[in-house]
Amino acid sequence: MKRERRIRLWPRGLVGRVMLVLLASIGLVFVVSWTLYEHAEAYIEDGDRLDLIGERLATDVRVLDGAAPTTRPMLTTMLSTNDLRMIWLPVSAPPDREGEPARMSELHRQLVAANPVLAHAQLRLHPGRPGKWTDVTGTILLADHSQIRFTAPDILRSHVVTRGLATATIVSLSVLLAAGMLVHALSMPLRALATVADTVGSGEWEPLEEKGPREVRRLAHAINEMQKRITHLIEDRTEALAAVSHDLRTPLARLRLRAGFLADAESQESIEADIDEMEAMVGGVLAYLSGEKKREPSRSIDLAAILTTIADDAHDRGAVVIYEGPHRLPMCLPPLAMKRVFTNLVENALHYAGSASIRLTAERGWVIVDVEDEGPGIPDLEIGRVTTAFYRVETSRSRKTGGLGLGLAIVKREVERTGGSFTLENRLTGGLRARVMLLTAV
Amino acid sequence: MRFYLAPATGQHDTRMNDTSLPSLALQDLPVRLLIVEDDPGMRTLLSRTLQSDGYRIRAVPDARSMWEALETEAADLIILDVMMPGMNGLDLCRALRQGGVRGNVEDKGFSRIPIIMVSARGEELDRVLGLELGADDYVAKPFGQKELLARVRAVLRRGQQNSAVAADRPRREMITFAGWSLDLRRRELYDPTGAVVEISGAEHDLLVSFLDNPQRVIGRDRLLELSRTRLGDVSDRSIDVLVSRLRRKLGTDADNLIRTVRGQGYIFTAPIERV
Repeated sequence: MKRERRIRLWPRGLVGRVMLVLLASIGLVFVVSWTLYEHAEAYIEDGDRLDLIGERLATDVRVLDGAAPTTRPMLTTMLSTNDLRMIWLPVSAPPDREGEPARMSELHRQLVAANPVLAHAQLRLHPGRPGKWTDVTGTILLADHSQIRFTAPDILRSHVVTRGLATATIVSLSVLLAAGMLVHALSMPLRALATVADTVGSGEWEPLEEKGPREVRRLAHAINEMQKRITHLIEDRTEALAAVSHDLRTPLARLRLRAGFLADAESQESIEADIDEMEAMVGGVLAYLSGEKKREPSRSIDLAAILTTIADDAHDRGAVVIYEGPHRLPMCLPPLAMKRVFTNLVENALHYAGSASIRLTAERGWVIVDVEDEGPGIPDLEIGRVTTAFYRVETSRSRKTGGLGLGLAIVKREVERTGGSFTLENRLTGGLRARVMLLTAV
Repeated sequence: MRFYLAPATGQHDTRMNDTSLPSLALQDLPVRLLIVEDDPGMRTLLSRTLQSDGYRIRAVPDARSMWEALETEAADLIILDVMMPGMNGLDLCRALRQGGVRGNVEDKGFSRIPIIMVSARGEELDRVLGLELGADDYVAKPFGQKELLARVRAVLRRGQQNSAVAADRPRREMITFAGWSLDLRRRELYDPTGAVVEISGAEHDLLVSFLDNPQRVIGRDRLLELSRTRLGDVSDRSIDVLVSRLRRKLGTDADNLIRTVRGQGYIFTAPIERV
């Protein structure tokens, strides 16, 4: 079967489309400038001077018509003034073949109307040559078909010239704009692609629309397929890790119950401590993974109550946690995620510094929670990396209860999901400041 | 006080609701616990732990044997594992609260047996779900002996209080006062705008104690007694601390809501309404 091949106006490929845009731009410049230049009227401000020139031209034609050809060169020189220079050319000189541009027609009409003799003399007007834009030149035929070339310097008003420049600028700008918009539209699918590619791996991915030029469509398709494979891979690993973590809890529970029967108090205590550590790791992994899969919906909660409860709870366990801020502050946030965020920050501070202070302030659209401690802080080089999952400051890895390095990663993820921001900085007075900024109206 | 539940013969009214019985009677009649746990190791360890505390233990591996065990003899408390093959703990809990499986094992008394859920899924959402379905407490694995025993005691004590106050009170409850509301099942407090106000377990229990005795002066000793279901060791002083924490969360009007009666204790002034 013969496959029908149609010539398409809108090419499939990117190259074809760009070429079409270029072609369209060039065509547009051509059409617009032609129209504008042809129809722009020449304009003379000094009407009196024009009348004078018309009269003089009419007189000169009559004088020169009556004079003998041999005297004409001398006569024209004598009749020339600064305002109107003239040269006589004999019949043998090449005729003025240049047509009169449309923009001179109004000028022509004025001159002829005032001096009908010029109509018979085949008056032709031209704008001045480059560099002499304000001059008007022209030719008049005498009865014997010899010519007078004349130049009236500086008679066209300069704004005619600027108008010409302005139109050129407008034309170029509008063409530029049109071409820019077209190219923008062309690259839209590419930019959409980039946006989607940015979210790859962050767990919130929507399949990319496969549209646009052929190359972009293929790229989008490839990225969609890649994303599917990555999602499957991540899901499989996540599920496996979560399953192992869950399953670890039952043997841990057995171990802990069994430890309760040990007569040796000392080994019982150390087994308990080991179980605590393992439990913290399992809990951390599960907390991290569960947040990865599903997002908790926001609801109206009292942020101050969450912070004071965390502080009171730590206080009951014998730690020093100071809370400064309002007693109540209702906000719309995911409650469990926020509880986890601030518990993690406070636990972190207690772990490294033994004490913590929480400060809650609200200012212009933002609610700021600072959790500060007086611990050793974090080396400046590491401070950007501690929020990466499973990353631990080198010194903490060897520590007994270093954890898995998920606490701050969870904090960062959950805070950024609400549209807020999380920053860590070493305080000048020593210690670490963890700052959570939350949007008041989400 | 309630010491045992009626056996599954339909005589639910034999439950003892006499609050005047001295609490040492607890020791006279051993409390019967039923453990439902599929992991053999856990089952043995749970039994050993609770046995050593003086409870009478029966341990079964799955849902079917649980119903059988309940038909043979009632239980005063069920410890239920969530993750079990077949009918899981959450389904079982729901079934118990609905009074058994219709047409098979049915007993209204089931709906009143205190239940402690035991789960390897310690996430907050699972805990809330378990409590919503009618569990009295939710213990996350891995827990220690002390924690388990404390929870069992607390739930048993709460059971006594509840049956003392109102035996037939529906399981799911909402108490409102001065625009605020407390969801007893989810253990969540809502302010007048509907925002969730985080409260600790001890604060929750204290608030419940106040709400059970509105517009009556409650002495510190009595509050101590009522709140001990959760707090390990509470002193007079920490009751004051708890009250001040609760007041802070209840907002600007809280000093009027919970008023201090000099030398006697506290009074919860607002009228309450159960929904």
